[in-house]
Amino acid sequence: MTEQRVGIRGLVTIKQDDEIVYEEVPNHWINAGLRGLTSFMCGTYFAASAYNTRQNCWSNGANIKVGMDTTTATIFSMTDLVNANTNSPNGFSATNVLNPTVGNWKITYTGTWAAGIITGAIGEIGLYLAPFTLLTYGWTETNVSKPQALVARISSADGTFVAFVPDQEKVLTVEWSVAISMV
Amino acid sequence: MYLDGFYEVRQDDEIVLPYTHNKFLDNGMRGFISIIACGSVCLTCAGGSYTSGIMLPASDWNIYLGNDTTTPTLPTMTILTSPIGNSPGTAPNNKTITVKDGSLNGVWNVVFTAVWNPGSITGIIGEIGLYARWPTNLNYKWDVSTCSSFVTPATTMGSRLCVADNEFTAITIDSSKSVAVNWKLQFAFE
Repeated sequence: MTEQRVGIRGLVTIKQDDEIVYEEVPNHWINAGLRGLTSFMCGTYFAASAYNTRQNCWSNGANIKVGMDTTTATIFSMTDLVNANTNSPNGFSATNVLNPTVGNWKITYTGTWAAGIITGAIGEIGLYLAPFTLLTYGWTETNVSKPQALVARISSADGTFVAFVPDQEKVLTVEWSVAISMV
Repeated sequence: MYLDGFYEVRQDDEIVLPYTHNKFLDNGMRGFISIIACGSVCLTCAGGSYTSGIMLPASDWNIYLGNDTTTPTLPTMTILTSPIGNSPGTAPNNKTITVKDGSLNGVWNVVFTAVWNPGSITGIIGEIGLYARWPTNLNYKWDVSTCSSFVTPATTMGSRLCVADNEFTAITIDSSKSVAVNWKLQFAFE
């Protein structure tokens, strides 16, 4: 018997100026992201009926935050970073979805902090999106702008990277790739 | 996380195929990444009872069965090779979706169930496919800004299980019994 799985992988690359500090650190997906994809599958529609009022979902709520906790491993029920730094990225962007080869799909979010903004040791980083939430078969939702939620996290406490103090003279960049592919 | 899809086939209460890993197709995989990239919906007309939105997978879905036993699954497939009944296949008599809330353990399931009454389909089952409306837009923050319409993706096959890939042995349908197919999709913390 053959067996094929599809992975939804989050891989985080951290740079200071052009230097790669960590490359493709695997994230943990937590409940808000898992629930969001479950919700997506059982929904009928997501809509707006209020004139000229934008209702956000998924990527309109995208952001990356860094945090200073170094001791708390990621668990599925987390809803926020343990000790989030209050400085949002100075710049935030994303690619369109790329399809480099058959069966591979990827979008990459990038957050950039100017030199000297983040001080102290970074021990956790989170990806925030605005996922769906309803779980009833055939759900419909109109005029509800989905709130931002932590969907994935990396942490030094998970052992996937070592907490580091950013060089205050260099730009800090976090690239978060979300890829779907056969594995 | 892994995106695990499994098919189970029953005849009345007998499990004739235990839950078995499927293969996902490009349409299905693209649908998941497309919704992650989605940005917003917005209504651009005032003064009426209008709605603008995105149709999601469960707005039009089906499980179809086929009798092909020689064609392996390719990512680019969009329909079954040889459906039972007229294309896209004989629709089930009953269908439903159940959801397992994974808040307490990080394991989230959604199960699509299709049931055919005894005698409504005959022959052998060599392939099984899940059809749904998978979003296709790949732009970052793609949005739906319309006066009064929905973006309605075509209903296409997003996953398949087949004999040709040695995923199961062809099943001869006992037409005196109902046929039930469960497609379980699982997202799990790890």
